[in-house]
Amino acid sequence: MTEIEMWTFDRFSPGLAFGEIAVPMDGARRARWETIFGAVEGDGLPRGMLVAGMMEAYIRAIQPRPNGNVHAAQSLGSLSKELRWGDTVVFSVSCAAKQEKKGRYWVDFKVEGRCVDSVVLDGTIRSIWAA
Amino acid sequence: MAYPVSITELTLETSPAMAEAYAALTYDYNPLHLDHEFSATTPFGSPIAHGTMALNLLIEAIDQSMADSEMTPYLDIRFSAPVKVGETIQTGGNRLSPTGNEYEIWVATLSGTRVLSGRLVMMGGEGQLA
Repeated sequence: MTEIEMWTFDRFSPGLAFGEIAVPMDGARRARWETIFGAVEGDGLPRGMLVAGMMEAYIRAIQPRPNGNVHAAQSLGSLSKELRWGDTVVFSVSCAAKQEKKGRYWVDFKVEGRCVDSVVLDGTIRSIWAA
Repeated sequence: MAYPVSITELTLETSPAMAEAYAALTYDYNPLHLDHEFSATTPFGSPIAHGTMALNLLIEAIDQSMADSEMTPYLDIRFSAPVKVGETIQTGGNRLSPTGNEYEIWVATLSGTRVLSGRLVMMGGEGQLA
């Protein structure tokens, strides 16, 4: 069996793409969202589900990863409120920047979400990578 | 539209069950959030809530504050302190000028520690934070 190599700081480089992850905004995800944030009226997708989808894509696209990474900062734009439950958002994940500073491994990941032809999320996750 | 002076205060009481639910929602099973033994070996000492759980509570509060707005929120935030699983958090925000579209935003524990802080700009069209 082939062992998949861990994503460590030294392997990241600006511009490196980790591929696309399709996230259907389905009933299972709606149930999990409502467990935490309460019932959603109507079929409109809460903007926060785009953030949850962004995190799902970021986690699934970069595997395996070390334990103990820290989400330090976040920028978010283009957050659409036009989506509905049942839509599928395709997120693309890439490395935007990296820097070692005071012994910590800082990495910026760019995540863009698209639904059909529209950008519905444009985010940058700033992480302190654990290894 | 007339922008509100402040952002709606929403409260969320975190719990281990909620951390599990958020992990399932985002596929983020980082043991920092879920594993007492692992988190005890880190500077946090015990499990901490997912940062974007607080961020999503804040986005809910922004949307409730500006339910009729067609503007798009642009956020630039940092997670300024950990939320221990079990703590209660509350959203807040103030408009920075009487006629502007820019806000100071935060999420804090009930004791007042800001766990998330940053800036919100409500924009139309294809705007970007400066």
